[in-house]
Amino acid sequence: MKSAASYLFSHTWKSFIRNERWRRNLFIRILYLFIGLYFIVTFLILGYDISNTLADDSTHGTERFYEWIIWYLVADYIIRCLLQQVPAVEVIPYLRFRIRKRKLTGHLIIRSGFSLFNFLPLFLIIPFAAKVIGPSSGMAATLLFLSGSLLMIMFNNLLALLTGLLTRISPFYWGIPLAYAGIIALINYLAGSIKEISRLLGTAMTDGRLLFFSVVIGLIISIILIIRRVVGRNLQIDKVKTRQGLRIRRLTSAGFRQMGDTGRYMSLEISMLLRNKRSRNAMLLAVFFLIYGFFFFFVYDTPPGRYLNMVITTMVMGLASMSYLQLIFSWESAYFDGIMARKNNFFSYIKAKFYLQAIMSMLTFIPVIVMIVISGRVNIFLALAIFLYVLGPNSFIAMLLATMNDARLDLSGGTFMNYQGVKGSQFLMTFIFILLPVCIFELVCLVAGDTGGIIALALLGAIFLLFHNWWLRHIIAAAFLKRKYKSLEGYRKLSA
Amino acid sequence: MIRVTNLVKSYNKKNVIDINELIINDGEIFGLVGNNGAGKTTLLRLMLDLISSDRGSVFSNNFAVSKSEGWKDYTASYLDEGFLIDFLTPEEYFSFIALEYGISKEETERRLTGFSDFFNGEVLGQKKKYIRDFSKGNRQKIGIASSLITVPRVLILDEPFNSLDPSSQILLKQILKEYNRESNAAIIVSSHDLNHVTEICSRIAIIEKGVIIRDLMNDGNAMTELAGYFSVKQQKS
Repeated sequence: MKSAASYLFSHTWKSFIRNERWRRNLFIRILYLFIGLYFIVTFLILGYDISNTLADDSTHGTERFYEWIIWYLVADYIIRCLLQQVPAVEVIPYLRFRIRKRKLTGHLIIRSGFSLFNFLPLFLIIPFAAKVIGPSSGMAATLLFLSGSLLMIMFNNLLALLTGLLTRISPFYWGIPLAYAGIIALINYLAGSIKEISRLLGTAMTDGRLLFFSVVIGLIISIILIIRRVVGRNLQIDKVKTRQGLRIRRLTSAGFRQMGDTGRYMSLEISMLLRNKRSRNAMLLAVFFLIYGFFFFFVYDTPPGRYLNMVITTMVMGLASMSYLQLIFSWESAYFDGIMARKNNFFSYIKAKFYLQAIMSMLTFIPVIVMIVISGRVNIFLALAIFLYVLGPNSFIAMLLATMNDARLDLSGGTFMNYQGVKGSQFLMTFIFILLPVCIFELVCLVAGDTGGIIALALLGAIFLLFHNWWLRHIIAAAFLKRKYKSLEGYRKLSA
Repeated sequence: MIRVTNLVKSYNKKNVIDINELIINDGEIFGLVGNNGAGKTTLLRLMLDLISSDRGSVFSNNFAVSKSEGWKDYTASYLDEGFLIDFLTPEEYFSFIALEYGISKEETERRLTGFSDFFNGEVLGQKKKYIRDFSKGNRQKIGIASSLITVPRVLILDEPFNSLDPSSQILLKQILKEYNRESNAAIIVSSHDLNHVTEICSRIAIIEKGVIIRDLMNDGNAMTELAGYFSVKQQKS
């Protein structure tokens, strides 16, 4: 007879291998492979590059790397809290069996280890250890550094798992990541610089200080014990499942009512976005891009070239709303049959989605433009032109491609690396959204100079915005209705 | 009136619906019975234009359902939970539908009071509870009520008695019969349960492998005939 633990793992493996995504066509399978490889290669090159630069300056090189350890850990932990999936829901079907909760907890802990977050830092750490620490401090130090780093990754992973489990029980536990970041910020303020402490941490690892290793191992063991307790007490279906969403004001608030059908669909869309986990996480992406923009515009020391500036500006302004738009119909896949069987105004329905996206883009635009003005990195007129372009042609392309997406999307899943409901075409879109405006701008610049480029982008944006009623009705709605049956059939497939 | 002509739907070259002609008149409660996989839901989906047919059409009055949408003005349906917007509260869901059909707030409330026995105090007035948080049976009730509040002339329900407790099943039968009497609407109901169907339907059709093989008026002998058919089938297999 198979042991409980072994079939838990075989089921995990089966759920991965039997995922609907592998049934799609060859092109998409190749694309998945390509994207996976792309991430790994990017991190490898980054790790190799950093190590090479640091290796030239061997004594200061290691220290400069160490300086970032704590910052990395904090950022890693917070991103994990926001994006890493807690595999708790997968445990539900096993609760009715005779398996002991202790075993399920063990499964949860080991499962959480198979997260991309745990593997990506290795591509930074291993080249660094091999190229920098090895030659300067010897084999023993290298191994000590590697094991210390692994322990800290483990610590972060377990802490994020615990936080994820606790926040499912009560949203108050979001205080943990806040406190974590707060404590680090406080230490930074009191001690002058966190970099100093970070450097000491790095040296403690390579020197093999017993205190460091015993503290980290002690922390790991205590977190495992806490997870056991928390899970043991709370492994019940109602607690494992996604907690209730935010409450918003009444569905038909006065403002939307005045907008007729469109307003009604907009308020439905807002409820959908706020009350479901996956859509809430997708909106966090906007915050993520804003933070990224902040770092880029203010923290990044060397002023980058014009090209990179434009790519980042476009990304910060438009990518979050594109990630919403590219799934614009799939968001509602779970109840699309109902929508299509009822009397409704399909044009207003699509228009509502477009308007809502425009409002959300404007909300992100305000902080971005403030950052741009203060930092002076990007020409303000260029930024405005990019914004118009993002609202116009980019929205059009995103919605057009959304009409071709017929994969069902589960609103309660996480976002990061969750490609359910996402098809190959969406990945290609990311490049189109960013690179197309940059290309148009650069091409027009060659002929008509910078001002010409800005005018071209702004003009394209304005034209698309001005005629949005036309293309929403005659292109987007028409394209969707043409593929209606195929989409509906796709949405009904539970495991897509 | 619903008219189905030469309707064929196939998956992987196998016909799952193959109906020459079927007419369902106003005022009829039409029961569709058949075993699992017989094509009941597929036929209902075709009637609602949720899947495309390979051949033939469904007409609702003079509208070909796949060509125009005018029939949606007077048609309501509840097939499965895919019709529910599960992150809304029942009130929000009802008012969303009411607005879609231009029913005033007061009228919606009035119509919902008609379901107070059916809801048994468990559905309305629970401000913090989304549809996804309700039990399966209560979700079923919400779905059925949401279709009835629009006062349709054509009502299509797939397995409406499933997941309901015995009292709710009895109430639902009363509600449907009463509604049919008052509005003269055509009601199409699919079910596995011969008792329910014979109790409320004026006409019953047996569907097997996508083909309507019997079409009987419920004149008292229907139950015997249906029971005979299904038990014979059992003996054969």
